[in-house]
Amino acid sequence: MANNGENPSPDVGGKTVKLKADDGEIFEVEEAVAMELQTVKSFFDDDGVSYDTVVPLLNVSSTALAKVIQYCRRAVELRAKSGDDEGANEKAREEREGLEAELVREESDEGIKELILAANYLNIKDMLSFLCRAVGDRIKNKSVEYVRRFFVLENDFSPEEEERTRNEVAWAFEGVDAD
Amino acid sequence: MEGLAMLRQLIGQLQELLEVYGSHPPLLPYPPDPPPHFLQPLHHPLPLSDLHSHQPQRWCFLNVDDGSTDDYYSLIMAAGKSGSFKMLEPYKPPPAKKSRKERTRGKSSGTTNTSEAMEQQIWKDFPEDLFEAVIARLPIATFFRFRSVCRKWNSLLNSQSFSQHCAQVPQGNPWFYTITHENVNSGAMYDPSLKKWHHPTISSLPSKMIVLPVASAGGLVCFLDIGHRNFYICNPLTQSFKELPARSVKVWSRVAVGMMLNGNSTCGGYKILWVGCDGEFEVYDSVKNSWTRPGNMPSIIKLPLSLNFRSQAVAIDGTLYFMRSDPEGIVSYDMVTGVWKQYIVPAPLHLTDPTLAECGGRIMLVGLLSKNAATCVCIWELQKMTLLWKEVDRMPNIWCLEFYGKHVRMTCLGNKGLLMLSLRSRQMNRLVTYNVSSREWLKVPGCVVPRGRKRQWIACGTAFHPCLTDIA
Repeated sequence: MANNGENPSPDVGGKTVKLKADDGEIFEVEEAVAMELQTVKSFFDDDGVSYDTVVPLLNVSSTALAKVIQYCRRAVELRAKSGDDEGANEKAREEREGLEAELVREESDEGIKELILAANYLNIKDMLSFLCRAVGDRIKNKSVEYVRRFFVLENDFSPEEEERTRNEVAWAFEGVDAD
Repeated sequence: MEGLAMLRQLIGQLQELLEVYGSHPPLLPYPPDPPPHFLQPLHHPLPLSDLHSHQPQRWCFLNVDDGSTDDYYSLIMAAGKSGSFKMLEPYKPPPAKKSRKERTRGKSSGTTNTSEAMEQQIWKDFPEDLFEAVIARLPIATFFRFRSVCRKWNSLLNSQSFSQHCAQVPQGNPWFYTITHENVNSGAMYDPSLKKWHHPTISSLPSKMIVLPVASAGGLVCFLDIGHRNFYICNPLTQSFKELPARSVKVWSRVAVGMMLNGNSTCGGYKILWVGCDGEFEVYDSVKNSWTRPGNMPSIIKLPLSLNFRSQAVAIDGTLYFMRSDPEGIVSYDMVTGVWKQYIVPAPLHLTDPTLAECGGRIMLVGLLSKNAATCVCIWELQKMTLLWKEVDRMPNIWCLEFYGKHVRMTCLGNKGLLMLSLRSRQMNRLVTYNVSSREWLKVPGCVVPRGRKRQWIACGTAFHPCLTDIA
């Protein structure tokens, strides 16, 4: 059951994996959860890498990593719950959506940005998807000018171009308050 | 006026207070020149509207030049006492999550101005790829509004990488593209998720002719001109539009049209089939951009084909299904094998305005049942083993009562999963959506053009899956 450092077996006995954040903090995580992070999964897919090796995640802060691990843990639990039963699936889906909403609700914009970068680096597709959607939700009812300031983007249209674009997309502005 | 000066000073002081407590200050509209001095919080170099930049751009109705300063004065005094400025906002307060966040931020950051300045830098170095991931997940109408943010965002529609992001976003409900009686060439689009009508200002379609939507696949809609001569493909959301090459048939009689994607997305191309009553048919392949005649209809299928032209064709797993009467039933064409088949399926009694639909691979029938003076919309499912229609749902009785004693016509717009039904009697046009899998009947708000008041009559249209990057 203990892992022989030189020959990792596919049906590995080691139950946890160690992840190291950018500040050196080490997180010990159940293997199933760690494998949600595709970057970690690829790390171990390489030949000769023992499951005892600490995975260095240099681009992820410990705060972000802690949240990622917490989310993935719950996600794995929920996935285990859903099965063939449509009712159970539906319930698991609702719980997962609740989990996602809970995670983003408490976050500042900077926090969400950090999580997006972390989820991107760690290659967690589902997490990246709902985080991006959460940012979209925060800006979707805002004005064009607000979005420019929010993302620090310059209005580089010429006046004619801007007018032309505005005319093309005028229909999307109906019923929406003016900038 | 002394009172006015006092009022202004009070406003300034209260704004400082608000920064400390972190709730929403009444904002002035973003001024082109710097705001008057007295309205700027004392420590703050930034223009007012950069404060708490989560606030939507709002017009505050605190107009101190208005004669009724007394009223506003007492309002502010009251608000100042309660510590909450929400009553001054013309808008509803934003959802609780924001105020909690604002409060936390207000408390934890010692100097509010540095956190404000920092906020501007949050997204500055955000990778472009991830920007696209965010934008691809915006609601469609929002995306179109934000196209006017900057050139980069405007050009995303032509970006390959953005296209890939869009392909990863799970598809939601389809939209409906409809022809209104007033303006045949620029359709009205209905978004059932937000229950909102959209009226595009610029039509992708040629303005000189009348074209009707006859089929759709993915984000593309297929139009046929009213003389049944030429086909046009268009993405109703973007300007992407294409006229198909001419058909080889010279006699322009009425045809039934089916359309399907090759594979799962529009990137693989699409095929269109038209079939006429005389058994003639052709298939268009978008990859080759040409029509072919893959053969003849088998003799076992009785001609002339009495096709139901008011029913849209249904596409399931590479096969198109058309509705027909005499004999009642369905004819199908397998795009892969090129084989035509027929199924004799007796129609339910007292059925009018039938149309085929599909949900999750099941073939459905939608139609009006009229008995005595009562009319009702019914849904049937095809039992494949017995080739019989089995009733599975009906429109709620209360809604059907509206049609009692009236002569009603029905059109079904869209026929995959979510349907829009247009029910018309002499003076009335009711629109309803029906979700086949959830069996949910919902009323559709009337379609009114901007700055108009008359509800539009909707009689014709189709559903499509709004996709920003599908190209005709």
